[in-house]
Amino acid sequence: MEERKHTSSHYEMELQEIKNGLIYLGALTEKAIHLAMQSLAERNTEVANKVVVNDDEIDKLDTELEERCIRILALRQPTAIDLRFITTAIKITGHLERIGDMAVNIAEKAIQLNEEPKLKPYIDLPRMSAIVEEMVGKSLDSLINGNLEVAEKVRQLEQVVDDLNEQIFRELLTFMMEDSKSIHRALLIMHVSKNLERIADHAKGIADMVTYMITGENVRHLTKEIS
Amino acid sequence: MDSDIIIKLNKVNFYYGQSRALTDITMNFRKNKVSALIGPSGCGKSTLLRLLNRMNDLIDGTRVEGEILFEEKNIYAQNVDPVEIRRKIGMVFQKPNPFPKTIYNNISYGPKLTGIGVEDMDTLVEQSLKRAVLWDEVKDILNKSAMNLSGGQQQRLCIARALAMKPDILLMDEPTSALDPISTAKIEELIEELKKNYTIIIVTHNMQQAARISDETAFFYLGNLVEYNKTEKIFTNPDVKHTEDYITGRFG
Repeated sequence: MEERKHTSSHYEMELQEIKNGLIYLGALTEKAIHLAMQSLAERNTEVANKVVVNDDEIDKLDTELEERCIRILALRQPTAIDLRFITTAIKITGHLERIGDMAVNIAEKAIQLNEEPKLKPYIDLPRMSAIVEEMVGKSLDSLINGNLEVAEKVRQLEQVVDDLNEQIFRELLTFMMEDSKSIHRALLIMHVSKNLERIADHAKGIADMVTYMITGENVRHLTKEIS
Repeated sequence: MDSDIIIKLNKVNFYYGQSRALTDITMNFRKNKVSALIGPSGCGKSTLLRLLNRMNDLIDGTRVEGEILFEEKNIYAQNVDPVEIRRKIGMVFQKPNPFPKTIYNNISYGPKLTGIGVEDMDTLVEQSLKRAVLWDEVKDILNKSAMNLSGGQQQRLCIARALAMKPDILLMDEPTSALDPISTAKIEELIEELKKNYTIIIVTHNMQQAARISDETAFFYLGNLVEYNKTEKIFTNPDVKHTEDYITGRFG
């Protein structure tokens, strides 16, 4: 059923602006993850630096969106679906901002890794990154289209990412045990993997909030907590 | 009937002449709770409120079908005295309407008139004014005219006047719509306090007020009860789309 519009067109516009802002913020963070992983795969420090610089825009937009949400809470006293949308938006903008920070973490590790010889070919990391990017993209799709099934799919993918993270961790342990000179690089790669895993947690957090927004049911703690 | 239910409506229809104002209303009001009736103008919420103490009897050409049970007795049964019902189910209106008498006489008038046997009128006046949180403001001017009080004070006087009749239920028809925000806040706080001893049913156009003070909210539209639920549920995640459209301002 198509959503009816508010009698107040200004209010309608204010809510739409927040939705648009979230979509744009989501696009920026997706790009940040992609560039961070590209800088690692292609050993391109210039791209990594771009991720660090671009994070300012993500932080600024996060603050701006949060302020807009608070303004609506204060001035419009939203109820029902509008209330659930605004509280969801406040949470989602926080998740996206953290995802941006984690992309920066990955880029910073990439810069350090690029200064040393490559430890090993990256096989599982790009796979993991592709799934994580898909999760972030899908979590935003579920928000835009109000789609519960897509949100559920994001939750399911989180376990796949967790498993990959553990697999990478075990593999890197063997490198470290075999050759102590590899420890520094292996630890940096572990950080990258851990950051991807945490991005997946945030994507799941977004999907959980979208589920709350649509159904009014809080599913956050029915499954694994965000670490 | 559950012990916590004080009023039970069973398939109530109400007509002004040929026109039906309420359709098949079945609902229960719970004891010591604040229930809010909301809905757009003409939805029947004030009509329903006035049905609960037979105020509509005073309008010619009206007709009630169905049952309204107050403590398990049908208030529209033939042997029921509407005056007695109105004593037990008091009412406060939109605009404060004190009598053009002294503050003291505003309170004592009802009990004297109906002869409910008051041993100590001074104590009743004091108690009623204290319960309406007006005593401290008027205790030294009890013999002054009630017309000199501010709007907010007059409305609390009207509440005190209703309380002096020792009712079980207080019906309030938009009791703060003519008041400033401070007076409104005082009345709202008073309602919170009063629900310990009384059941309150309030009609309000101010949805934030319904959200702030009521335990249960009923949404009416075109004479139908669309949704009746816990207030928190209504304002965070109502079951009916129509309710959501109304409370979020997407109506029409």
